[in-house]
Amino acid sequence: MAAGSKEMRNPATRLTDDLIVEILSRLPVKSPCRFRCVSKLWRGLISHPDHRKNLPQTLAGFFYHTTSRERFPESARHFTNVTGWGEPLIRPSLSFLPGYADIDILDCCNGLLLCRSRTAAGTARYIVCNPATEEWVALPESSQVGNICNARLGFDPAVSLHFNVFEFVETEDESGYVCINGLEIYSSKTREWAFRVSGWSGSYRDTSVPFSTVFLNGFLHVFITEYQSVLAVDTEGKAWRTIRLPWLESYYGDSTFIGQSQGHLYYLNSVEDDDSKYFQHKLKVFVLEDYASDNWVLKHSVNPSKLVGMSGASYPMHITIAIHPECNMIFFVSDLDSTIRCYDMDHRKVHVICNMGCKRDRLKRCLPYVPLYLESIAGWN
Amino acid sequence: MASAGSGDEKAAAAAMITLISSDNEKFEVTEATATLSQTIRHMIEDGCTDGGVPLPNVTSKILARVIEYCKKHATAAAGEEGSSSSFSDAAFLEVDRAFLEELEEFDDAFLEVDRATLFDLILAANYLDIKGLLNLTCQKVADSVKGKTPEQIREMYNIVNDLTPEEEAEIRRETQWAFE
Repeated sequence: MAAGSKEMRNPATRLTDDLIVEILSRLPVKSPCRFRCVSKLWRGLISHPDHRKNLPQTLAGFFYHTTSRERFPESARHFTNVTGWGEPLIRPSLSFLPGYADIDILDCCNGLLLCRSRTAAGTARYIVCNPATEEWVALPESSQVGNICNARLGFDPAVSLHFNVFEFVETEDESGYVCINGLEIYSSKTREWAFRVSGWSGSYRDTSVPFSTVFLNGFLHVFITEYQSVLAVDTEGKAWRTIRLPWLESYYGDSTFIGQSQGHLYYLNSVEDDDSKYFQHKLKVFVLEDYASDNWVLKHSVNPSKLVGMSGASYPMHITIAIHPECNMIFFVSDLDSTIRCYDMDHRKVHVICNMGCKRDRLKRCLPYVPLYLESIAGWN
Repeated sequence: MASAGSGDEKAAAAAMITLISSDNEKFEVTEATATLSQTIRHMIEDGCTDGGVPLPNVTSKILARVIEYCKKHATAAAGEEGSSSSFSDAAFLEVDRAFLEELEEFDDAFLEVDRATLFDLILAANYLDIKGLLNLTCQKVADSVKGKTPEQIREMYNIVNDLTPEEEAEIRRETQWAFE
């Protein structure tokens, strides 16, 4: 190693692959995505199975369900890459799980899936799995066993390798409103469920409105019809918070969506456009820039007819399924032609990702998926 | 290992280790300084440090810098142990904080080196298995490439782009947002 030689002036060639990855692992996901363009070596390094577990990952695709009476079973599960092309990154059958034919995916959070499997006896149990590593764990029964509840997953590997499952304990009244009485919260750390009485003052939700939730900053957020607010609870069920949403006159409940992007909470909804002479909706995108506040900022607004590509569509014919975690892009399903599309807010452009082939199954959620290649998540058996 | 338990602890702390660089320069360091390196720690545990530890991958120039880092951080580690076990009042926390600030300043100044030296330090930290130093130096490189374009990276590190225009276009198309 003669100092000052030509070789010494080109230090990158002396670093081992592991050390280049060591450096890349400290960068936000945008950088490794870009640096695949540096050379063949870098492209190979960044996508190699040995290295990707150490590198940040981004939105890779979506789980979605279609329904058709012309086939059996009527409902089918699919996975599309976010690019719309290539072999699907994940096999949607989840055939590595026991009894996989009878499994519903309830939620997806930072690489893990929360599934419900139905046993022959008619009872249900929760399974949390990582489809990238095909590892899974079955949870013990909660006190709600026998009731089919809404349930969500909370997991943030940047904070902890433990996950939480939130099971909603609810009662429904005659008018179709549901009151959240409390939550059963499972911790993979204690491997136990614990019931927490709701600490939210008003927690009625309209069952005709999508049950939109997002896990962010260690809190699960739930959109609630009552007072148009987002309710948030921490993973221990100790901190309960109500975040007021911007008041929208005559909003269109079906297009309600809360999500997260670039570390911020987002709220999307369609409202009647005041400026329009005709009955016309606008999709409004709000962002909560200061998480501690209730100050939502209107970030973007777009005519829903632009999204589905039909001029004159006066009310929303799409359902929002995600916001890109790293950029200003909205993903949605167009009910007009059953396509998954994305809308680039910066360039105001719509792009079709894939055609679902038949109608989306309205009873099941489309879930954005960010892979996690880390093995042996805490709490795995 | 149990070998430390058999001897007098003070004697162990004062024990000196000789490190020999690739260009045959000898460096005398305390065991506390040397054992920040896991590689050397294991050698000491295996009792194979008599006659000095040859480090054929590290030049004297780089080894001197690495030792400088280890000396400073070994003192910090010793200080931390002392404060967490016996002192907890505000005055000592204040001292702790001042010391941490000083350590941060030391690290910042330590990283003021040219790119070739920085990469040599990474290689040495990796070979000697010094977690803190590896973390510090890799983070410095990461900070310097953050936000850079592929073209800038190629230029910084003299990398030849051997991707075909089609391959490059496909990568860009996959994650267009990352290139804006």
